[in-house]
Amino acid sequence: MGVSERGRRITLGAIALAGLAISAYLTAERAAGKAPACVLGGGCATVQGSRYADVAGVPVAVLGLLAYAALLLAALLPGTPGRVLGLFTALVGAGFSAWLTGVELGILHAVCSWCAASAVLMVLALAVCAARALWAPAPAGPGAAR
Amino acid sequence: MPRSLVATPRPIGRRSPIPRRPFLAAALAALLVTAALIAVSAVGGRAGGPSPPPAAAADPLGSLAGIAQQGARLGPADAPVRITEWGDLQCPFCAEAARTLDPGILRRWVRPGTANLTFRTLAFIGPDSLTGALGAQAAALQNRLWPLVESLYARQGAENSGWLTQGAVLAAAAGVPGLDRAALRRDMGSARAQAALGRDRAAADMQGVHSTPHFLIAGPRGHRALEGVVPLSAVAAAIRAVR
Repeated sequence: MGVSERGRRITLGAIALAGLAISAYLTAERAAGKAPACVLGGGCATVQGSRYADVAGVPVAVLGLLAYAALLLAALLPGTPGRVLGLFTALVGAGFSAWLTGVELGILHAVCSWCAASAVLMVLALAVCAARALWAPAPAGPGAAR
Repeated sequence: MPRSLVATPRPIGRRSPIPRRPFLAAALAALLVTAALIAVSAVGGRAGGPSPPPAAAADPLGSLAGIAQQGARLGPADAPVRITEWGDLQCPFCAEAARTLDPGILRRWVRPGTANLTFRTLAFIGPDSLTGALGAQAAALQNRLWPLVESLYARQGAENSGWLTQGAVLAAAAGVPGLDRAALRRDMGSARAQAALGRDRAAADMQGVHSTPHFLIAGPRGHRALEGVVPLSAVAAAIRAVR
């Protein structure tokens, strides 16, 4: 493959940091009782104020914070633990993001640009984590430098 | 047997024999967790957010009694401090502000004559917001905007779910003493209501209002803007700063 394991981990870390920034912003706006400023379109107030912005009382933005923190940890962790954690988190994140995007389009008829950006990041994270899972680096052989 | 000191050559580019079981287990667990999250999201949604109560009485706060209403303004026109509140009748945070913040503002500053409070409508969440905003503007023509707005907030449903119709506005108006519903219905489609809505929107653009609720507190020493459901102490600090 053209991209090394190190490159995939760096890419995943960058994605996680970008996602953390978005989630932190949405969490802060929610805590302040404000609708986030929509970069594109005007659906952020609708989406963030809807009942789908919470899961069992936990704001989705907080779930996003946790997910991106887990992805960052997965990027920092070498070997199988990091790859398994990354794959699990990215699958959950991308799957739930797909559901929320469907809710925005099909039920709320409003799109929150921050949520859309996060969904794209999750799909990218899933691609990177799948690549990490499928193409693991060759383990060091006997006698190889430690 | 002595171990060889020479590393075994490994073909470059060949996949290493990685254990598949942890990844399959992670994928299965992810599937289950995702399904659970979606199920909770679809059924439950918000539990502790600003969901409105089912109350439907006009002036559910009981805080408007005895306060002069003129158009969209509560309190004396010549009050030293002027508070402007922008809201969208479909906005759940606006309804929360109406329940938790407005009563304190009325009690501490409007009722004693320190400040007046003007409601300005915005209609950005969806088409039904426009219906509600026009209802509010039409009620302002009868100096009954505030009790109608409070009543609509108390009846607020999910955004863009179709709850905010002309019928809903008229039903809310039925509980507002002194509000002529026939005139309200007529005025909702009037040029005066449309013009008032346009003025509110223009004022929002001028003040850089990007979200609701938004409060502008103006006085002899300047003005302060507050966004969101702020604590009453933030309003107090802003009033102290501009008086």
